[in-house]
Amino acid sequence: MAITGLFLVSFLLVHVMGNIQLFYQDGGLAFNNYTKFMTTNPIIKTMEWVLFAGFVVHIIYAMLLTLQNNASRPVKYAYKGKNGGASWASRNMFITGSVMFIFLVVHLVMFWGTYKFGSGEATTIQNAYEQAWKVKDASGLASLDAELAHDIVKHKYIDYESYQEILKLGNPADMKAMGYSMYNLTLDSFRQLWIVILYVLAMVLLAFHLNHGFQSSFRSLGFVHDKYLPLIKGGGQVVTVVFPLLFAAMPVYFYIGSVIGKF
Amino acid sequence: MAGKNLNLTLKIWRQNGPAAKGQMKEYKVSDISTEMSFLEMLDVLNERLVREGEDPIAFDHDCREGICGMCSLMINGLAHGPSRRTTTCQLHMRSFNDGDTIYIEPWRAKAFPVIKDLVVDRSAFDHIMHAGGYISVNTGNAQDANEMPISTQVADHAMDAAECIGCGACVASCKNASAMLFVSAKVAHLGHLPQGQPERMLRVQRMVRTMDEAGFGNCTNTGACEVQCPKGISIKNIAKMNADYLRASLISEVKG
Ligand code: HEM
Ligand code: FES
Repeated sequence: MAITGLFLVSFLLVHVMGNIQLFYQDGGLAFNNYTKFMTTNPIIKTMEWVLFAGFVVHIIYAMLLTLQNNASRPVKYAYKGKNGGASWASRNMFITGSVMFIFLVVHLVMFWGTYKFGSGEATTIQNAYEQAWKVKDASGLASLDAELAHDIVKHKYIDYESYQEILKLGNPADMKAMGYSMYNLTLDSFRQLWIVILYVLAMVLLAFHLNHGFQSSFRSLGFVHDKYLPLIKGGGQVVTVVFPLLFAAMPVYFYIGSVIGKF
Repeated sequence: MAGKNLNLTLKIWRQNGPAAKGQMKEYKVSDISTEMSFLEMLDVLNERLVREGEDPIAFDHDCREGICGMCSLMINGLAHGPSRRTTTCQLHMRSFNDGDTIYIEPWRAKAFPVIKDLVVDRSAFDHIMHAGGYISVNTGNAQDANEMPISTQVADHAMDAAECIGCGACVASCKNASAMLFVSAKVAHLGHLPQGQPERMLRVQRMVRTMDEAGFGNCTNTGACEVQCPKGISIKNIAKMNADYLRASLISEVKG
């Protein structure tokens, strides 16, 4: 539990560092380059599976732990409402975790799923790429149909740099993988208010989950010493506040941006 | 200082025997002096029940001075009642107000089955102690007292852990009914001292295994045990025991 929990925290660190590029004012160039790297680099591709396993193990252990712990008090107390001084976060790890799990499914279907398996749109995009390829073959960049060029470069699907690279590529199937603009997908997703609300809610729960979980995992692993306990507690507070805040800022930023017409 | 007298409504768990079905039963008590201890208040009620021909309420107690660990009781959802670092026998009725309703329940845990009313079977703790809560010494002449120097700091840490009276409030308060605070206090007590070293790895493995077999829950570091412990045993002991346990499982040649 503690090992998988801390592993997931390390994932959050990487994830937040990458996604922070969404805030760059560069039309998504840096972010799209980053997603391209993340989806093509063999080490990252392997780590994707390790991460998946980390979640599975964490959740399986969470279920076993919760079942065992519920079973260890078959008759509950009649007097409710006292918790002996244990924090809300520590008492509701399974609840916060489960809502985060629902969020995770939505999140993955939205981004990873769209990216991997495509949607109606993705097929159109591929068509567009294929056409772009043909156009390039026949008469070069300049003669690219103006509207199509606009679609590809500007509209939703692809940033300019990816577009340039697509044109250098040989195989249309690779092109799809190369050119899907995660930045624009993000932009589109966060125009919807319910998604923004779901994200912010999930991040609040993440804060609670980490508030207990981070320091708890060090205790479970046997780390306790007056010398570094403050460091663990302090680190826990930083992780608890900074990670969820940065993650939650992303949908809010794009939603407000879309409302005021920035995007 | 003259005390007041209280009229109270008590809701007490009554259960005839281990297999019987129990329920919360309401009792009214009046003219309870604030100078009384909580257990004396129950004594007063029991005397009345005997007079009225009802079975008196069974509850555990022995020293009534806060050192034996025999008394228990979940009082309004708190182990040993509302006063911090106080056993039920040392709790006084001045902690309550006139007209209060007080819920009195036994420790609740699968590993602590109810024997009768408010009395639970805590022999699981004894089994854990038998598994390793001791040091093996050969008989013979007593050693010289200064043969084994122990620094005050170390002795203090050991003493802090040794304060545990084994009452089970940690188990009763923990949302998981985990016995980790108790077991870790025993492990840390001996683990701090030179005399505890030879059996240290064996001890932690055996005691943890016996604890798990007894059906206590798992520790999730919620910290309720530490807050409710009448002796203020620190949950740092739990992390220390986790370290010992990991070490014993990973690199110790000694198998528990
Ligand atoms: C997705 C579904 C998830 C579920 C169902 C879940 C559930 C749980 C449960 C039940 C616990 C142990 C309970 C306790 O210690 O009180 C736990 C601990 C923990 N979780 Fe999660 N969690 C989930 C996701 C996450 C995520 C995304 C992270 C971090 C990025 C995380 C980090 C942790 C940490 C650090 C612990 C502490 C381990 C310990 O106390 O030893 N969990 N989780
Ligand atoms: S009766 Fe001995 S500690 Fe309360």
